Order: sequence, then structure tokens, then C-alpha cells
Amino acid sequence: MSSPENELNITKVLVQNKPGVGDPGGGAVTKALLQRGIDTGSIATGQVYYLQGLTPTEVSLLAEQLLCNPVSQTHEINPRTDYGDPAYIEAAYQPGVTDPNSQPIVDVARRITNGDVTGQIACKTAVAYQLSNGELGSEVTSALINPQVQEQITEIPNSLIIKLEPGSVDIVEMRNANDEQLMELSSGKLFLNLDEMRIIQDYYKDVKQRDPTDAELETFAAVWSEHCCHKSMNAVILEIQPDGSILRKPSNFSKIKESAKKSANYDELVLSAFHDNAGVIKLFDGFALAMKGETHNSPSGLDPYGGAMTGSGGIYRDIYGTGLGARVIISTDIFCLAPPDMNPALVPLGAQNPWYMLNQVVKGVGDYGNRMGYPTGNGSFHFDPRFAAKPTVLVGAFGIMPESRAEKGVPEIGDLVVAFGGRTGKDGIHGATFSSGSMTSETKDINSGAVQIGDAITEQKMSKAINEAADLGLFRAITDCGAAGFNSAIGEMGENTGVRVDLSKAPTKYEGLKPWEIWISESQERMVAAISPENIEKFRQICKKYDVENVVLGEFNGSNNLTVTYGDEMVVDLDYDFLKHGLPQREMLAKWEASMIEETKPETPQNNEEWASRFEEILSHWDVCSKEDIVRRYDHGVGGGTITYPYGGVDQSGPNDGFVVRPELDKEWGVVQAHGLNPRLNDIDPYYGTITAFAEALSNYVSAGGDIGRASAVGNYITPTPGDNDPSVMGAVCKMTDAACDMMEALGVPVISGKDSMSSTYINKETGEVIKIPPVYCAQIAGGIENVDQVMTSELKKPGETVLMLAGYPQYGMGGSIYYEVTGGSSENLPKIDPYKLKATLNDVHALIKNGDVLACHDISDGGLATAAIEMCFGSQPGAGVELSLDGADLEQELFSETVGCFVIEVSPEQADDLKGKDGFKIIGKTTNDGGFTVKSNGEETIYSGVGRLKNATRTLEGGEYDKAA
Amino acid sequence: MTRRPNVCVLDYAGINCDKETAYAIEQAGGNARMVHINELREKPNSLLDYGGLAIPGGFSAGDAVRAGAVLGNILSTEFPEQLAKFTESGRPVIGICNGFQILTETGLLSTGQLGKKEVVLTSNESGKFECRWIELAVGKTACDFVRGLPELLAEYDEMSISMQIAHGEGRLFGLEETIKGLEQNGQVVLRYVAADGSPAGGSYPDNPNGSIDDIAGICSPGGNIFGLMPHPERSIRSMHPDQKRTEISRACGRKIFENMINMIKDA
Repeated sequence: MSSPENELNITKVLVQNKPGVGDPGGGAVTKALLQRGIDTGSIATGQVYYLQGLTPTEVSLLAEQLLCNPVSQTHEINPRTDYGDPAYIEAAYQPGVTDPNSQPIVDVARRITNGDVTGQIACKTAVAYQLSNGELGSEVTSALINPQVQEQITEIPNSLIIKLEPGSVDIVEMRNANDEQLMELSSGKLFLNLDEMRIIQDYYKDVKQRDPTDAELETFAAVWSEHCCHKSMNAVILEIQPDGSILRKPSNFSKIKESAKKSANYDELVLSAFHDNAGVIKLFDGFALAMKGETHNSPSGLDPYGGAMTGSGGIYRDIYGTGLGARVIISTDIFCLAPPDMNPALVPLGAQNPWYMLNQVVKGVGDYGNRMGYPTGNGSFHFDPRFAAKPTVLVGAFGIMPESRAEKGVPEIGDLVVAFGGRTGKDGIHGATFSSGSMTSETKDINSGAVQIGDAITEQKMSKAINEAADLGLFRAITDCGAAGFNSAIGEMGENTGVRVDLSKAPTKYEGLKPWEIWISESQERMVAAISPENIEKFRQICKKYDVENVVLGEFNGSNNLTVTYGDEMVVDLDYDFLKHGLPQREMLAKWEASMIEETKPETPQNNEEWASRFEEILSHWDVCSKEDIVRRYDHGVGGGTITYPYGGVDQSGPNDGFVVRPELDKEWGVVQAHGLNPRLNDIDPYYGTITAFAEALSNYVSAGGDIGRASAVGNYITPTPGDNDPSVMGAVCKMTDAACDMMEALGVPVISGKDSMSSTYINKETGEVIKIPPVYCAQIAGGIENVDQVMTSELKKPGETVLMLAGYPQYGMGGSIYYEVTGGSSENLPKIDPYKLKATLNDVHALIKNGDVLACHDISDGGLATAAIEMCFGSQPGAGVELSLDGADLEQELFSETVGCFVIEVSPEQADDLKGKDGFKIIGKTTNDGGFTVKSNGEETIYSGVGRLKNATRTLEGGEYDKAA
Repeated sequence: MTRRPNVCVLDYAGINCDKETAYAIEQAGGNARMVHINELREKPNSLLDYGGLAIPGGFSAGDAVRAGAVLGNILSTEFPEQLAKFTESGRPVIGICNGFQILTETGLLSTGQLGKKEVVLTSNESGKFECRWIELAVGKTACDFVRGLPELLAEYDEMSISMQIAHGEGRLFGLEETIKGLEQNGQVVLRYVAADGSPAGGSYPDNPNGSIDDIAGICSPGGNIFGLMPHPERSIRSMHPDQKRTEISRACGRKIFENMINMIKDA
């Protein structure tokens, strides 16, 4: 029996592995630290549980029944801990930060007490690290503990129960504020500019004739934020001409929509584009595919683990909230980061260590996606020091649903506003508005509310409830709580009818949240649905089965007004007309200025050894090297429908170009998915860089078996912060849009969804140093494949018997190539792909694959033809090799120019005979079984190396933590 | 007998291989019924309405504490009589990946008795989650779940069974005498091997997690409770990364579920 006094007694339980079991956790930490240059010797780890509200007997029971498995572990209750020992570090999440492990423990504890408790049961988990000596204690502490979300425990906590000072609605005196005061109100919090603040001020002066509430200002800040209404993508473009005059152009977003509609696949395939959480296209048998990509850059810059996790969680919810509910079948992750071995002295102030960044984003995506049970089948890494402070963490999700659910739902008057899933806390307050501002060296300290940790299991059980309710047709409309939380979810859903909600009904993580905080909180794992009163009971039954908390917050009421109360207190009272239309369309200056690039040609290798070692340098480059060790941390087979893997072939080391999955296990059809982006080319020329990105995505897709006639695209922009003081960012955005539009129209593949993230500028407040990332455009492609037996993989199937051909029309150019990056070359001459020739190649290659005429296919991208050819050997049987016969006029170019849109295909000699006269096909060599990589240039053997040696060169990641366990 | 036996496919927060496991059971001739633990809580004795029990893979309770610990605790403390009755009647129980972890946390594996734990599945030696296809061989066992697999390999002229693993805590650990006992009792059902069928000998990646004696799957002393880290349900409709191996992989995966259904029918 627990007594009230026990509430204050916190018991600590320490669980450790028995000596014979080993301590893999400690080993992994030691390796990760070593990667960063911190050599601690071995570190021993232990699990720590702080428990509140339980008697000593109950704690013992819990420890014996749950916390400790006596086969492999020992436990100690209230161990004597010397918190002051510099060799002892105990790390935990800060109070209030989601600790996903604690809730299941509390549930079991509650059962052990038989509900016989007077106080609240609470649990906090921590990890204990015991160093062999304390010399490096403080260095290790700062490497292990991310102060954004974690803390070092230095004493037994007094209480684990969080109570905040309750607050109510504040009125903000704004009507009489001068410009300076308006900007003071906005700065660091609302991220609205002076014009926008004045418009709001006028509205309160003239229409409302009162001052706004704090929550109303937050509502404007969120609804009018870059994140929610894409002011830059929707802005009228004022393009500065060479003579200084201004040409007025439609917004980038309107251009994309227009070109999408003009593209050949649009009418045939597209069910929903641009007005829902994701775009939707047709598959087969009445099934539809929802697709979406989104970045989570700013939070990931601060806490890469939490940022990547919540990015994944958010993109999955986008899919659940598409149409009337979809089921996720593919997860993707695309990262642009600083090279892990970047000189630490050059890492910008306030940015995370690059190794930490890499390991933590991978862990975040893995921990979330794996728990959800969605195969993570496609992704890539792109490295550049400029991503150190502002990484690009792009996650994609693809889902299926019946075609009949593809259209976004609309609530009817009288429908209930139902919130369900996780509880609301202080997490992520100001996330939406935060992504409107640039990150500074100070951001790490003052804005930590922008960081959240995801709880995948809350989302996983919620997704099961959604699937079941969607199948029963219980939703009139459904959407996720993303940026700005309830505010944007409920606000947007109510815009056709008007809505009234009472925030006092929302389940919260702890007491004392202010109404405006509940309104804009970005606590994860929450959804909002419009459900008719006759369906609510059925929905609640489903939620009960899956342990999903749900509550009716209010109803859609026909008022055309957004009314939010906390009990009887008015929190927000705004008319939709102003909220939706009050913000005037922005006008933005745009002017792309190419930076001058000197032509520097590296020296041509003089002998075999020079050629071979240069090739090895390319293969070991961060962008090119094998990512197998990372990919294996993601489950790419869950769901039981995976057809081709990120790495395939005999020993599963052959990189494939796309991912193919059979989402409905009893069907023959599947989904092919791929992507492309190239920050190096975009840096030189955003137009041709984007053409290349789009072309690479399509080439990957075709190489895996896809048909461009069934494809659609998701387009994501990630750029520095635009502004009229720097028209070059919008200039680049316009170039990227032009390229995407040209590709859509030429190839017939529409972009049907996407997102812009325009805040990747870093400013060092102390030195004034500004770092802008290269402008990035990423295209993700997906479409149906009629029969998954028609897929293609990259590993050579019959080495020694077959012919290698080049398919496509190479457009050479060494600017932005890996070859120039490793040799210090530079050029503005980059590959300029002709979209119409590309289309012919893609259709030809697809027809051959579908016909079974190609044995292996790999598209040419980073590292050029040579890299594509050698990668085809990696997954093949032992002894596989290639012999390339090139004309040798410019061998560097032939081997290493990144002629995206071209393919290396393995065909039978008979097939080669058939194809060799055909436009766009050329024999370039043969496969061998001597395990060699040979290049003959104009008949003479110029390069000879071994496949094994070259494969070793690709294993850059396998130092430190990436070591094979053996 | 043509009746399709009912198999309970257990569901709980974090279980995520439920669909493909149910599909595999259906393909093998069973009726797969998804049963959430909350439904079982309402009618605990309804467990005995099923001829077999499958605990699919996933991350039940998010792997809080240890993989399988929370759901193992729920099963042991909330359904002890039903589970004892179910397993003592000889009905087949399969635990795949997280399901295997859950069964070891209850004690049912390896001892067949609730609460009597002798083995555990703990963190991979590498300290990290890993997803890859691995090769397996059948141990010296009379376990009905793997009946006919060696013959199937011979028929296809193959040296090993291909299946996918995807786990972070798959390293089987127990005292030396426990492991010896398992071996002697014929409870070691599956072992990781090299592609040519020779023992993995603990070496990575053939043995992907450092499991003691390369053990990938074990059964209870009675043979009717079977746990394995690899995912046979993923073999049914996936392709092998080396597409030539797809057919044998599918045949082996299917066989395990067919055996389970036959165990119910023969009971």
C-alpha cells in the first residue's frame, strides 16, 4: 500500500549486464567517441530507473518482474552513487521532454500495485556511463549529452512530476504600438515582418476594435508563417534583368501547378495534387498511392536524433491524414550533412559535431521507422561543409489506400472535432515560426522549445486505429497536427464551415499549460479528425482497443469563425476571411548570379597506378562510398513485400538504384520508388543541377523497373533564407522551378506534392560570419509496376558471358563532378541533359527491361561510368569483373563525367548485336570472370585494377563505429 | 481434414509484422485472426478457442526496458492459466523476432514454463540494429515446425535456408550448461551458417548478432513452442536480394507455417 509520503520518495534502480554477457552498448559508445577523437578506453553502461509513487516492496517486485532479467542482468536498488565522480556520467532526457521508455514501465507498475496507490506513479529513465578514469569526464559528458534535450543527473531528483505555473489568456497591447514596438513583439517569437505586423494592427484597430490575445497573435504567426503558407513560393517574382529593369513573373508555386497539369501523365494518373497533405496517384485494382517529402532541418540542426525522429513521425502522419486515411508502405531518408571528418575547428559555433550529426540522424530515422514497421528502402547522403550548421534532413513517405479515399475530406456542419493520439505538452512551441527564421549561433541556447523527441509507439498504435477507422469510413476529414499543432490542423479543417473548440478538454502531459501553448504546441503523434456524431461511438471503441487517447474538442458550426475557448474564457476569436485572405501576396526580388568559376583541369594520370588510385579516391569519397552499414540499421524488409533492396546481389553489397515493394501481398503489382538530387551541380547552376536531379530520380526509377508513363514526383526545395537584400536565393529558386517545369512537360511526369524549406542560412552573431547551403532540389519519383517479376537490379548476372552497353546520350561536363572534387579541378561546364533525348532513353531502357532483354542495369551518376560499372561487380558472384573498351579521346571524361540519364546495361551477346546499331546504344565492353577492372583505351590496356581492391575503397564508413562487429 | 484451423495472431502496441504473419498463416491453410491484447483482456479464456498462437515481430511497447520485456510481463502476469493450459495441451506457438524475445521473457522458451527463465535475447554484439538476409541450417531436433526442411533443401539442391533478420537484440545468451542442455534435448532448432552450409562459428555476418553457438531458433522441451529471430513470413512474397535464391527461400518460409497448421490439424 502506497502512502502519500511515498510520493516524495524516489527509488533508484540500476540494472547492469552480468560480466559474461558483455556490454555492446558500452562498446558502441566507446567506438562513437573514438570516431570523434576521444579515446576513453572501455566504458561500462547501465540502465537507471527512477521511480516515484511505489513502496519499497513494489519497487522490488517491479525490478524482479520487469526491469531486470536475471539470466543476463543484475540489479541494485538505491545503489550508492558518487555523482561527483568525474568518471561517472548519468544522462537522461530533461524533465518534460518525451521519454518514450517510461510510460510502459508506469503501466506495468500500476498493475503491480493493483491500482492501490494514492499518489501518481512516475518513472524517469537514464543511462549510466562508468569511465575507466575521470580524466576525460567533462569532454565525454559534452559529447554524450546534448544540452538541447538531455541533462546530466547529478543528484536524485526531488520529484518526477511536472507541474507548471498555471497561466491564463493575456491581452497584448498592440493597437497603439509604434513600428519599433511592433517589431519587438515579433522578434524571436512571431517571425512576422513589419508589413505583416501592421496589417494585423490595422485589423485590431479597425475591425476588432480591441487588442489581440496572446493566442491570436500566435495564430497569425503560425498561419502566416513561411512553414504554413509558403510566402516565398507563393510570392510574385520581380526578376531583375541584366539592364536593371524588373520583369514581373508568376509565383513559383503557380508555375509548378500549371506545368504539372500540362504533363502527359496528369489526367491519366493524378487523383489529388497540391491541396492535401500528400499528392495521390492511381496504382492498380482500385488502389491509390499517396506521396510526400518533407524536411526537418532546423530541429535536426539542434538535436539530430530528435529532429530526424520527429521528421519521420511527421511525414508518416501526413500520409495517414491524406484523403480519408492512407497506410504507409515506404519510408525514405535523404541527408545533406557536413563530411564527418571535417576539421572540428571549422565547425561553426553552435553546430553539432559532424560525426555526432551523422550517427544521430541515422539513429533517429532508424529508431522511428523501424518501430513503425515501414520499410526504409531508399535514401542517400550528400556531404558539404556548408551543411554543418544547417543540415538537410529530408524524409519521404509513400502510402496506399483505395482510390475512393483519395480526395481530401470536408467537414460538415455538426461534425465533431476529435483530437487523438499523444498528449499535448510544451514540446516544440514555436517550431513553425522558428523555421521561418535563420539559425544563428544563439539559436541553440534560446529556442530549445523547438526540439522534440518522438514516441514511435504512440504513433504506431494510433496508426492502427486510423487504418481500422478509415476502412469503416468513419472519417469525414482527417489531418495531422504538424507545425503549429491544433492551430493549423483545426484551423485549416474549419475554414469552410467555421469551428469552435474548447482547449480545456485537451489531454495534456502535465498541468499548467497556458491556453496559447496548448493551441500551438507541436507535441508529436497527434491527429485531428472530423467525425459525424453518429460515428463517434464506433471510433471511440476502436481507439479503446488500441489504447489511443481521444477527445471531442468541439464542433464545426457554420459560423465561418475560428472560435477557441479555454472553458468559458475566450482564447481566439477570428474570422476566417481575414485569417485566410488578410495576408497580401508577397513580392520578391529574384536574380540569379552565377559565381565565377575558374577553369582548372587536373593533371591526367600518367600510368596505371595513378589511374587506379585516382579511381579509389573517387570510390572512397563520402558521397560515393558504400552506405551499406548505415542502410542495414534500417529495416527494409518489414511488411513482407520487399522485392528489391537498397543493397542486393549475391553477398548483398551491390547498390541498387530504386526500391520496389509489393504492398498488397496477394497482388502481382507493386510500387517502384527512387529519388535524385545534386547539391554540387545546383551550386554551379541551379537550372541544370535541378534538371540533373530530376533526371537522376527518373533514371533510378527506370533502372529499378519503373515506367515513366506511370510515374509522378515529389519536389522539395531546400535553400538559404531568401530576402530582398539577397535576390540570388529567389533567383536560384526560380531556376530550379524552371527546370522542374521543363522536365515535367518534356517527360510527362508531374510533380504532385512537395515542400519548400527556405531557412538554411547560418549567421554567427559574434563574428557576423554567414554560411549559406547550396540550393537543393530533390525529386522523389514513384509509380506502379504491373508485375513485380519485371524488376531490375544492378549486379552482373552472367559475368564472363555477357556484353556491357551504354544506353543514353552522354552530355559530358566535369564541373561539379566528384572527379573534380577529389582532384581539385573546377569548371562551370556541367552536363546539360536534353530532356527529350532523356525521355527516349528512359522509354527504350524500360521496354528492354520489361521484355526481359536486360540482365543488369545501373544508372550513371556520382563517379561516372567507371563507378557505375564497378558497382555492378560488387553484388555479383565472386570473380565478376568488367573490361571497358573506350575510344580514349578524353578518358577522364569518358570514365568519370557524371552523365546522368545514361545507363550501363548487361546484355547477352545476341542482344548486343540487335542493339548496337540502335540510336542511343553503344557497346562499351564486356563482363569477365577474372575479378578485374580493366579499361582499354583505343585498344590499349590503360587501367587495370581488381574488383576486391576497388570494393575496399568504397568502405570509407567502416572506421570507428562502422567497424564490422567481427 | 479440410477445416482451416484458427490461429490467434497477437497484436499489441508496437507489434508490426502482423499483416505478413497473418498472410503466411492464411497461405499455409489457416485462418489468421488478429487479436489485440485488450480484446484478450476482456475474455482471457478466448485464447483457448484457437488452435495455434503466433506472436509476430515488431517493437512491442517500443522495446522499453528490454525487447519483449513488457509484453512478456503482461502475458505472464495477466494470462498465466490460459497460457499454461494452451501450451500444455501441445498446441503450437510460434514467436518470430520480437515474438521470440517475448517468449523468452515469459520463460516459455526455453523451459516451457512461465516464469522459469533460462535464456535471454540480448543486444547484438555490434550494439546496433541490423537488417540482412542470412543462412540457416536445421539443428538436431524433432521440432515439428521444421519437419521436412532438410528434405526440401536436398530437393532444391541447396546448402542452406535463406531468411531475413531485422533486429537489435537477437543474441541468444544462457549459461553454458543451459545451452548444452538445449542441444542435448533437441531444442536447438535453427543455427546461423555460412552460405555453403558450414557452421558460422560466431563470425560476422554469417552469425549476425554474436548468438551463442550460432543459435537462431529454439523450441520448448515439448517442441510445440518455437521461437526464431529470422522472419520466415518475409520469405513468402518477398524476393531474395540474390533473385536466384527466391524460390528456395519462399518454399522454406511456407513450409514452417504449413507445419504449424499441420500440427494443429494433427492434434
